[in-house]
Amino acid sequence: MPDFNIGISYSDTTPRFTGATNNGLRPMPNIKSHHHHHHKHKSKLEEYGKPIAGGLILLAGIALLPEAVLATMGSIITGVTIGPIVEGATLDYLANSAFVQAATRAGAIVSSGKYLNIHSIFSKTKSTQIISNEIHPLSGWTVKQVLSKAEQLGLETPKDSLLLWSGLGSSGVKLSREFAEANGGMTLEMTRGGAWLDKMDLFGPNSPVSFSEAMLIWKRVSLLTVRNASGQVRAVIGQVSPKSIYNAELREILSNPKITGIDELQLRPRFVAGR
Amino acid sequence: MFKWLNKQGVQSDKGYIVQVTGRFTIEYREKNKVIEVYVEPGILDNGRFCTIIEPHAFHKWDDGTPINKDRQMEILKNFTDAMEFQNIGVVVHGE
Repeated sequence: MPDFNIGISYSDTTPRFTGATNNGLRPMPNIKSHHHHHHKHKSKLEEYGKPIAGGLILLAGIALLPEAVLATMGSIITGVTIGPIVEGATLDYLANSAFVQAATRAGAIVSSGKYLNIHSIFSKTKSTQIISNEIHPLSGWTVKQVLSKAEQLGLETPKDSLLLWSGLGSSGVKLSREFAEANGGMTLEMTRGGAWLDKMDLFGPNSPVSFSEAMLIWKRVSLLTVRNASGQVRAVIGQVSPKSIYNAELREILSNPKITGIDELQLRPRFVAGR
Repeated sequence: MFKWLNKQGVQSDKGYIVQVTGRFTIEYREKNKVIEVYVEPGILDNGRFCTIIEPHAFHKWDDGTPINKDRQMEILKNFTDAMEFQNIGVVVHGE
């Protein structure tokens, strides 16, 4: 699978596609640039579309475009509106077209392929939309951008507050939060950046990133949180594997001079993950 | 041979599907039989990511049907192959 490298822009609260490519040269998008990029790429779309009457012919041509361009187009197609270019293409054509497949290779999220309101060929009045809940809010974000956003929101915890957890099973987030609320403390998922990342849900069939990328993001965010911590750290743990990321967190603690020590609490001594 | 179903799901030409369904869950599917596997993220000695699973992960299907030892080993191998295809190692906790 390709590295995810499609551009994005941010709205006030929720990032949306604008179809902008991200070739690594464009700075982290911000609110001010949103409309600019949107306008720019909408114009680009029109520029591609107007001279060609046959949408399918254009689609075939698009399939031959460089992947950087396809990334842009792919973003558009997975964004809100496909617009005049491919408007009217049939559902099956869109789902199976070389264009969509190539756009997918370029990183666009079209695998869900749930297009609605696709009507007769070359209709000029109907628009094509993708089911809104099929578009992941971070579609188009790079790993670096996700990390930057989490860090920007904040991964700091007050002194003596960081509460780590590991080996608590799929309810570990909930269990550790309950512990923190009852006994004081702040887990990674309770920091602003961590809460945002948790809410973004990078895992599952709709995720815009690969499994290893999602793991990388959580690992980096976790280590950044430890790096930002100070004072005494606590950890609530269940059955911890020697390969667990928790062990990487412990190593990070050892290299953080602001941390005075760690208190491990076996929250559920007989707890066996997954049972 | 595997084909990508999405960025976190693959299907084998043998017919089974391995799909990440959550931060700590991966689904193993054969036809209409499903096992939801609890996983914890980990790191191998070589720095590669891995999923840590429990030794009992494949003892039974989600509908309660027990799985014999041979089939457990086969499913574990299938699961491991699918994860390796995604460049993720598999570690059975305690082994």
